[in-house]
Amino acid sequence: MNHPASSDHLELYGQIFTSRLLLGTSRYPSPAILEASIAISQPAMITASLRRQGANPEKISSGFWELLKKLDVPVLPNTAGCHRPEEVFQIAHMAREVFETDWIKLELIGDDYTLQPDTLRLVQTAETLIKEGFKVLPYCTEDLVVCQRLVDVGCQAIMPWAAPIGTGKGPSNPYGLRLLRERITVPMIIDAGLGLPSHATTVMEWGYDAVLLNTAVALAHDPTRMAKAFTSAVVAGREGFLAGAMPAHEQAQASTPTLGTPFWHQN
Amino acid sequence: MQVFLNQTAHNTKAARLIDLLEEISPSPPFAIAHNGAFIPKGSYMSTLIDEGDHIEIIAPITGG
Repeated sequence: MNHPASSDHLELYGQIFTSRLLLGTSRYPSPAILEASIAISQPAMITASLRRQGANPEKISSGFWELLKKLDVPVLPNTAGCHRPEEVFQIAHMAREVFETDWIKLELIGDDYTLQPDTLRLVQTAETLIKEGFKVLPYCTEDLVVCQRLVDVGCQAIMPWAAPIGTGKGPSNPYGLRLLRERITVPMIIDAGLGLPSHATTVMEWGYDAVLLNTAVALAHDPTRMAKAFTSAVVAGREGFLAGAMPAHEQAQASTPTLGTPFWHQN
Repeated sequence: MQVFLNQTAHNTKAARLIDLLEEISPSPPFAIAHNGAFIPKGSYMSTLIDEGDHIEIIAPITGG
């Protein structure tokens, strides 16, 4: 596999990451498959969450902490399921204590059907967390003004969705996402809604800095193989972005020179 | 007295949060919320428990 130039790294809050893939840890068929998927994709960070002890029915939750310690990959705790800023603050502080990290994936849900973030309260919530010393990665929509305000209050990276969480639909608003990339200068990670490796390649070609995905890998027929496919897809998209695409044309243009074509205009 | 541990009734004689935790020995790592408020580790000793209090023991799980 070709790797990007060694100087091309993802930088978030001053920290350098060699991978541009962030991987979720939920919904895998088994702990062994989760472990193998992480091992093969070597993600920059893996996400985790907090729940009441003993409340999680997922088989994988047993021994999850031991697995995190064994993998030694930076953990990005999330505030999944929070609907109010007060809940976010409680979970964020708990996560900081449990995971011993200032990183927090800020999820503030505004609608249960689409899991769309509550963008009206997201900015103020992010601002409070940043003042409390967190490195906030806010899950947001492609709304340009909301994203700009997140940057204004100190978010050094933001995470717009491609489509609702877990849908696997890929970028549902290409125009909005491309425009957002043009207007926002801080690192941006596409979070949620990716289903295929080509989705990851596409957003990386648009200039997004990384992707965060979970379900696309976890629910694949062969998650480990899909993790590998996404790893390659992210690299391909990044390389394509750095290489600079040719301008698109409406009219066909022959690749092979026409000058000197045998029999040309002889009849 | 009766308190609620992760929404389940529990009888205890513990007067402080640290006593309750010694009694139930949750698997580490965990974080604690007392009546909806996060209690940092350093405050376990000074946090007093009352009848009907809700104690949440929060642990790491998988997440996306």
